[in-house]
Amino acid sequence: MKKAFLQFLVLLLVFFSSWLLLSQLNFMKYIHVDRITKKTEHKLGDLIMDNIREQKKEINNDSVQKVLNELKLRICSNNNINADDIKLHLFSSEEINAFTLPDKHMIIYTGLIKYCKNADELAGVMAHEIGHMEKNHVMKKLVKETGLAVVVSIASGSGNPAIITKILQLLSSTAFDRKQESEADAYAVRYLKNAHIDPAALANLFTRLRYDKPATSGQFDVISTHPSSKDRAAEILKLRGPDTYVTIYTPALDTNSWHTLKSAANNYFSGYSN
Amino acid sequence: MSQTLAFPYKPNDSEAEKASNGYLMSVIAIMAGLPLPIINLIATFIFYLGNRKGTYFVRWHCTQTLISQLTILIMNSVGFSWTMSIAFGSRTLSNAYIAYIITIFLFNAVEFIVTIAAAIKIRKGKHVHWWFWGTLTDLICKP
Repeated sequence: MKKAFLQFLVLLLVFFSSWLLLSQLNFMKYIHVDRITKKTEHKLGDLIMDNIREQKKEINNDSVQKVLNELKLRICSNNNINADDIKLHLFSSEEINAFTLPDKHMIIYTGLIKYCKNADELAGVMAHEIGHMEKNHVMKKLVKETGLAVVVSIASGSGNPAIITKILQLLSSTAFDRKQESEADAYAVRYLKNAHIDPAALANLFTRLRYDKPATSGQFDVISTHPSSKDRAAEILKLRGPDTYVTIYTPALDTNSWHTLKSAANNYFSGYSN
Repeated sequence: MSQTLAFPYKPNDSEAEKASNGYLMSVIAIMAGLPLPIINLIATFIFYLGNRKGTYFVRWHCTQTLISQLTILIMNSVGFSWTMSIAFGSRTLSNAYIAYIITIFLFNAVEFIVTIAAAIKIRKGKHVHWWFWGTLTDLICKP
């Protein structure tokens, strides 16, 4: 019995040491997993973008795009993020929403711009979405919700439009998990602070959304989740910390640029009034 | 890994053939069972049931095959469920997963070769005793 047990231990040792030794090799690099993943993300992003364009009107107004890009650049350039990778899209919709799609497409609805009281709030949401992008939450969520097989089959061209619509709904209306949302919030605070934009604006937005929840419930991925928007606002303020003599926050946009954005959003829809 | 030992008696040709078939059964089942590791075990278990009242030589070798298949089943089942959780669940491809699949592939390959070699030797009436599984079989299977 003792002999069998010892031989079993040796066998286990051989098995686990083989596994451990092989694990030291970077197979992910050898088989170009990153490149394959990027290709899949790119294809998925394009498919979902085509789908959303069929449902909503994209606003390709140069002056509006310029202002949005200005916001994006301010956040990215102060955080060593390649701004060119992030593709901003503004869509005409009354929904108060912004979300991220695979391949770093950021979708902003005019409803959100109308709802925001100032450019800092919008910058807060954008920083939150950039946080999701940097942590690759979108692909993780997609794989978790639909499975790798479905994601790969869609990207390889065998997915039907109904599935892509479902995926769009999943990405635009349901939330990431608690850990991912908290992580994106923490990243947003860091990005905003580095860009000298006050993160308190994002906390204010969460607080307002909480009171307006009957009207916004289920629409805004940023709030339709746990922890509650109240807790998250508190956490953001905690991460922001108190004002000190070195804290210099400046408005995310100048007044004129913000008004350009607001009036463009108001021209498309009239809904929430500030 | 495997050694040829003396058996308490000299098995006759019919016994050697039956015992050898037990190993071949597991080899054939490996081919069918690659995607579903349980198939190997079921095939070997059915063969074991059919011969459990056979002679000591046949019983001994059927038991050794069955135990070895059980070990392979555990190893392959982990690989199978890990693969499924990547394809349809929330897990992602990782170096640890690829290393595990290569490890079980190597173990399966060694087992495959050793099984064929054992089947040939046992068909000639030789008593092939495997590392660990043979020792365990000695404890389970008595004359």
